[in-house]
Amino acid sequence: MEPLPDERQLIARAGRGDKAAVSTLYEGYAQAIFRYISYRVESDMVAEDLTAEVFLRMVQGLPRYQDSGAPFGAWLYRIAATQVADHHRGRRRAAEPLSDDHPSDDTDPLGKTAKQQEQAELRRALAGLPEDYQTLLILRFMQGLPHIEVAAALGKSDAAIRVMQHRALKALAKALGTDTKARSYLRGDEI
Amino acid sequence: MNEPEFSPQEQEVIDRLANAPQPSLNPAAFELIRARMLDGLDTPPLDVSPPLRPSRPSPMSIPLVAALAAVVIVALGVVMLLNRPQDTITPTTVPMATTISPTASLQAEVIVTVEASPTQPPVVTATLEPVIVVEGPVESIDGNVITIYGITIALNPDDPLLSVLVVGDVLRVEADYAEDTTLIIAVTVEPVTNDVNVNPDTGEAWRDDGGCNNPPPDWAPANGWRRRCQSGSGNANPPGNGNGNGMGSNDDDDD
Repeated sequence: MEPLPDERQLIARAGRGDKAAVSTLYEGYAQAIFRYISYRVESDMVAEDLTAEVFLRMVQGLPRYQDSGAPFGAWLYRIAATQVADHHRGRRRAAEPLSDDHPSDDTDPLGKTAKQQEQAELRRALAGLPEDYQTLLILRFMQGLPHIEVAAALGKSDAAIRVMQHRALKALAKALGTDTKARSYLRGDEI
Repeated sequence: MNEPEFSPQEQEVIDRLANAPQPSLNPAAFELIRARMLDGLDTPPLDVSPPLRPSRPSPMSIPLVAALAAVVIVALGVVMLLNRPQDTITPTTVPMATTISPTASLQAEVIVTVEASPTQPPVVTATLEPVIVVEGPVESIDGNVITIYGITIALNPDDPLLSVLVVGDVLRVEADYAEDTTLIIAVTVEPVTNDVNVNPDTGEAWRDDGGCNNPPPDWAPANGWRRRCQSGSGNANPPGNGNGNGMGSNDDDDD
């Protein structure tokens, strides 16, 4: 993800409580963070709540933020990954029943579009993978981040990310395999 | 760096991910979050004192880490001791391995994520500094990520210990906190298992694998290797094979 224009200055100003700078950082990263979270949780509503938490923590953390050379976005993705992990731990502690269909905010099942179905399938498949795999796949292949930024977000080396991506892709292919065959069957394709 | 080639199956998944729907915050939620966030600027910080040392958790992260620590303590009956002097753990003595976060300048080699462990209690020591010590058997190894008593620990991928580590090895991890996350950064990690040794100067690791093809380097205690492999009977691998490291003396330190 390309850094925002004058991002360092923005961060410095935001760290001093400049609301305009904070707002600009938010505008620059909000949608990307939301998209990342939305594929890691069960619904867009939950993703909205967690996105809000990420940016609240950004505001709280900015006064102590130190530029280490890693992209600012990587820091936000790390906060987001932590929020997602906390969310799932909370679900487990609450013994929330796991639904097969990961209920979405859509109250009209008949109105589901192909896009919503695809999003639901990917969510379901990703949810079964290790957390690092999920983050890698979303950031690298959905959001198009370079290896080095994914590495910074995951706290791993560039080389480790390159190795891990093959394992993650293989795991996701396996998780999606059944769905692919089912779709082919329903279309009447030869399998 | 060249893009690695992907198999057709991998490419199919990549294409699917690249063309996946891109959900977006609706305008109302976008503005609501912005308003909440800007309101947060008006809330005074919990603690404005500067950190005592680079790795000390930020005021924001203290409640998060404390909550996680509390879960461990309550669930596992953790023993809290205050008998370790502050200067026994010095972050700067460990080689830099990875950048934990943009705000973490601690020289660390391990990241630890705390989760509750349902069974055996780890030995956890609280010191005058915010250091947690976890000592116990490795329950799983996945790449550079290991688990001890349900605590997930990400080792430096380049840590030579990884090359010899197996499930069941007992490790001692001394950890500290990263800023702004719930991560705990380990300052040192050392094997407790008798047959795993780490050279304190170089970080090189050696394990007695039970065979005779892997002689101990000269810095490592033999722990019975010579008695097993250099005595008369059953010596399938005579002394001097391999690099010959650690084989120049007869002072095998077998007990």
